[in-house]
Amino acid sequence: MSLFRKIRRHAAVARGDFGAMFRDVEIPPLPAAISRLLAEVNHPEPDIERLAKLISSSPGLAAKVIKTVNSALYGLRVPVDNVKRAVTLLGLEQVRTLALSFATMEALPTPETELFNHTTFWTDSLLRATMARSLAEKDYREQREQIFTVSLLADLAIPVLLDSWSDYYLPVFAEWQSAEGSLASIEREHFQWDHGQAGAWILQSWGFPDDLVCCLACHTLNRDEMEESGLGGSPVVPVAVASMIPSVVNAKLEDILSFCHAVQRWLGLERQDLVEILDDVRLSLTDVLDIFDLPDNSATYVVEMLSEVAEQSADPEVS
Amino acid sequence: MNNHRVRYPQQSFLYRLVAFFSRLQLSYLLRNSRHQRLLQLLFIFVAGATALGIISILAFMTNLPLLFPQLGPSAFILFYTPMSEQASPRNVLLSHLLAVGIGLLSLWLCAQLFPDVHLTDSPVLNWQREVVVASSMGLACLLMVVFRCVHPPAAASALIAALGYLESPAHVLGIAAAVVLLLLEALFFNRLVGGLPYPTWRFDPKVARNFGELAGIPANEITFWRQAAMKTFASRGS
Repeated sequence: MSLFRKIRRHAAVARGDFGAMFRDVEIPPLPAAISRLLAEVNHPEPDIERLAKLISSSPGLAAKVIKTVNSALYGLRVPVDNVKRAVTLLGLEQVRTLALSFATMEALPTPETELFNHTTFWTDSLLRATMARSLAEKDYREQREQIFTVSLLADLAIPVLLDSWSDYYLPVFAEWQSAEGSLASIEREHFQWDHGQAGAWILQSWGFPDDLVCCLACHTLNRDEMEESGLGGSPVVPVAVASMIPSVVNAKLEDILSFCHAVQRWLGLERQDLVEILDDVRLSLTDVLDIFDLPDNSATYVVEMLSEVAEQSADPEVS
Repeated sequence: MNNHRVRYPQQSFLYRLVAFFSRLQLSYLLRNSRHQRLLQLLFIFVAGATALGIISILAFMTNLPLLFPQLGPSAFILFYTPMSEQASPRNVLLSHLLAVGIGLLSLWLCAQLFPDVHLTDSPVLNWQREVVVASSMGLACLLMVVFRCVHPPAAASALIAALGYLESPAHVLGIAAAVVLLLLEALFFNRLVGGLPYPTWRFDPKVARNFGELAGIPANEITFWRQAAMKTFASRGS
């Protein structure tokens, strides 16, 4: 590597200049069909007929849409076998979430390192997204689907950084896996930026609205930093709380307790509310994971652990 | 996992050296300092003074006609709103060349139509000169919009040419050379000193939208979420 190129790379990392960092990297674009689909969904008067055609042009997505509507989540007596009917039943917000989730899973690279597991990554992401959506039920009902989307994409920079900037990022990722503390805090120590900001830049380059970009960038902030940024009562909060759920392969009791405390302190929910939310998450998670062909045992185990801790502390006799 | 060989390029001496200097660049400081206004003022003062200073020294040393009034407003735009479309090298270069061309063409056409009229004597103002000035101005404005290369100071280039101040081909080449020099200085200051992704040719709206006032976007037009999104890329170092 030439000295000039080395200096340029160092400068981009040191300044957190994601524009320069990702300029020579192939950030996977959203597939054209998905971009057109999102444009149609975001249209003030979306045409369901056209939407169905766009979904049908992506066989993988069409299958996911039909699988979703036929899942236990919807409890239909007669299975649906055509995309247009599925779109009508699902609603536009659900279609958008599904399209984005599917597109991101397809587009993101799978880094060639044993430290990164594709299945675990997406299981964690879907668990956190499902949890964020349920946590948003009370105070952010209108933004539930956006919160699901942001939470699902919260860590999207990790595979990109591991794939394209592995010489800088892999040691940091390895350090996080073998040490205490959050990934964001270790990243900040090394680079003065974190994967939330890098992910937000990717989301911005995909043309996502500013509020979602901001939510993603800020999900790694602590409560004080969030208040300082004026985002205390914003949809960032449920995303940030859900991101505290430990990974399904490394769930520790102290992390689970931190999450439960955050639910109480950040969102003002009681332990009993959390128990109910966890019941809701457990019900929908199996279907959500099934839609994306991911195994549900490890995620269900984490939810059960969470429920156990929440129930114990919700029980007045125990507390 | 323990077998994994841990290497930290970010712990090398070169990285620390580069980090130290690159964190002194304007774009980094603007994102992370509380004295943004002061930094911007300092940058525009130093860059503007140095850019025009260098051109003046070159003009003095080479005896070439490189100093023209329109370089002032051009330099102001290049260093005050470097990420705006008006400051892109494409707009600056094409607009000045187009404007000079239109001014000279109008003057030449008028000279062909009215061979006995004084068109270049500065004290003399007749209706023919007024037509030349007005038509050059109108055409320059029109064509800048048509060819999407708007750069307001270039209108002065049309005026200077139409008024007959460019007396020889050396003056015309002088304007072109001065504009190219100014652009090279803008590239140096905005990219190297400023650390800004200043375009090498064409403006990129997707990049520019993150730079607010530096892209010429008035503060009151920036929404809460846009402002928050711009702030989210600030350094999070301890």
